[in-house]
Amino acid sequence: MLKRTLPTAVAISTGILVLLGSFLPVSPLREVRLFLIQWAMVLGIFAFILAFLHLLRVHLIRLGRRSKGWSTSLLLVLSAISVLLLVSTQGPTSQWSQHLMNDFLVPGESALLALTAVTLVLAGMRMLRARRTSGSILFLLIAVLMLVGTVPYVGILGEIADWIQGVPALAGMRGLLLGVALGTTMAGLRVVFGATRPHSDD
Amino acid sequence: MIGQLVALGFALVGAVAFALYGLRYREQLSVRHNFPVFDSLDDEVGRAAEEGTLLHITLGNGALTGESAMTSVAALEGLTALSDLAAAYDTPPIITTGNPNLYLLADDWMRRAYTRLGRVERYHPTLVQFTASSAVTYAAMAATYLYEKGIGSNIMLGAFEQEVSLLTEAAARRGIYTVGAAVSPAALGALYPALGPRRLVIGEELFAGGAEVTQNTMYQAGLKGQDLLRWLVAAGIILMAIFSFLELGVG
Repeated sequence: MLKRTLPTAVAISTGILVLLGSFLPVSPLREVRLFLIQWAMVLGIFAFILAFLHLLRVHLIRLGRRSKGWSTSLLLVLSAISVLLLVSTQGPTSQWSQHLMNDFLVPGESALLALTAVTLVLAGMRMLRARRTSGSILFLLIAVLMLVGTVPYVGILGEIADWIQGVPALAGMRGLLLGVALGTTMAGLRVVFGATRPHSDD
Repeated sequence: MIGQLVALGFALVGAVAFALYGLRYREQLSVRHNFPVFDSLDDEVGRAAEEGTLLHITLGNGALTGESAMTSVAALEGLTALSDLAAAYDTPPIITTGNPNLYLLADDWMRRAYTRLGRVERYHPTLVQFTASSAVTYAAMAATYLYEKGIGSNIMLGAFEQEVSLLTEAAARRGIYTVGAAVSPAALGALYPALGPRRLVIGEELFAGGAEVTQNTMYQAGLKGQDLLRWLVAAGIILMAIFSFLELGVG
């Protein structure tokens, strides 16, 4: 009984206090809200440690079993442990840690992000081949128009692209975000009411 | 301060609507909406069980302490029936997340599905995996699973950005059936060409997943409250536009 009601009571009271602290930033609600958020951050750090250890465990199991993709696991375990040792001994702002971050992680992530442009083009081409519906064709036409519109000296095409970006695309995006905000509000209220309990069984 | 009071007013209206709808629909049968993606999740579990393949669920990297928190919770709610069914069929899905808090929640969620069925001993902790903390690295790592692990279906629900295209590309190359749901415009821009409208849940529809798969009265009440708030927002926008047009000092 306690196992079920205690988490729910904590979640509801915390939710109400944080919500009130956000909407009515007056003392002591403001301080209570900040205090609870700091607690959440501290818990988040412990969650990160647990998740990191679990990541190592999963890949060590894969290595032990020599299952498919074990070389990826080996690379992951070696890099995770070496980075952990390096940053633990040298500190996160040391020269080597900064080199690792700026010369290895950031370019690697940038390269992957750049790859998404290629994957998006491939997805567009695949869509044109597989689904020639009016929606798909319109989607691709506008995508091409937006790309061409960013090129200098394209005259009216640039103006059309600007209009699409500034009026229908912006309106659609705002509509989408408003809908998501409403969904988020109601999902949050369900948790605050105790109707949804992501932390314990219903 | 005025903005915060308006927001508080909205939250209160939502709360009252939620409570009233909850009471009103308590004894009524819930109405099914038409979301093919959520309806297809059960079939995917059955298909995976028949074909002996695995289900891969990607929950994105929405932090539970940030603005994506409710998106991640809604994604898990949408998977409630699937996790129960997967535990019953003993076709456990591999769940990957890019956020440590979400990893703990998803692990607990899946473990509870097994506990509900009295099969907690069958649950293996490596079913839910935290793969990387940055969005792009997470997507790349999850994409390698699609190449390596004999995945038959790939379900992407949660907080994503354009990096989700790395996953859809891997799935397309391997011929893996994929469905997705996302709320950010960047992710939807990447998912639409890959999945099309039938296999994609767009924006706020993601929050209807729990109601669709569980048919729970409280979820239905939440959806009704969401509809009411939407009408209020629409009315507010129209009023603001009229006041602005008449130059009554608003806008």
